[in-house]
Amino acid sequence: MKNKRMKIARIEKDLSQEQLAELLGVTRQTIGLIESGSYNPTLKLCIAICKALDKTLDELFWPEE
Amino acid sequence: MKIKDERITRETNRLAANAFWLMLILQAGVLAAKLTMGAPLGVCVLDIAVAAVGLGGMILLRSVKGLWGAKDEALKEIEDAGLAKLFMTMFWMLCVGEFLLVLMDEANILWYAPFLLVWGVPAVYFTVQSTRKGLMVWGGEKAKKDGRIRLLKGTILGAAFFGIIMGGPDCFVDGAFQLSGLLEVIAMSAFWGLMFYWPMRWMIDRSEKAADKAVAAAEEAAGNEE
Repeated sequence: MKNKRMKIARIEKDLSQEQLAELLGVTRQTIGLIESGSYNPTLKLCIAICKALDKTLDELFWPEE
Repeated sequence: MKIKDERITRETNRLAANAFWLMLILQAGVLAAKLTMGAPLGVCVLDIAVAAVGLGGMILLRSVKGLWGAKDEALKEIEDAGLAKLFMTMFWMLCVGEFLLVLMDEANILWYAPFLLVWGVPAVYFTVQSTRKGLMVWGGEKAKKDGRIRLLKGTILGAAFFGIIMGGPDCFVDGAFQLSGLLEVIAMSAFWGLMFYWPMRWMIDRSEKAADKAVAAAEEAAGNEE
């Protein structure tokens, strides 16, 4: 399932996939795969993403009703 | 900054775990063939050591971590990580061991030739699959710059080491410096460096393209779902 909320949060922060990847120490491709819903990150990476984007886990990763 | 990407680590460990089984089977096959053909036990020391490390390590890993029959995703990841370490250990044992044996025991060189198969086939499998699956990536433009510098530094070190090992002894004959020996060191270093650096760069660039293609396909599939 596509993670639109993460993509929106990243754009709101004015970050490219590459910039976010660099902040997190992962590859640009991993960010792309998370946003497209093809890769399920570990909780550790989810938390790192939330911290980088100033969001909570619920806001980015809890399934929408 | 060196990238440590959990997705790549996980996928790489999975490939290395497959390569471990391939290496273990090849090593067992080569050892059995050598013994059947009447090889003296002395020339099978490295075969026995590598097989023992692989088999023993795998049994120990599964026993200590309780991984026998594990189907759980997390346990499978732990097993893959352990087998990946064993694969690397066996790989370096074979490479360094073969090199030393060939240098020290030239008379039995034919018995040592199959080592090339034991480490070469899994290494080719691992490299080709890593490239195809897009696991050998720079990871971005800035990372590409840093990565290329790291690759160049590593290549220079490796090339110098290879050149010195191959041509170093010819630099001094009876205590006298030989220019031809130094030229041999330079030629060997240049040969190794070029043979390593350009193919490696080509493979990483190709792998990056494969990874970008996979991301584009995933984005397209996600777009179609909506």
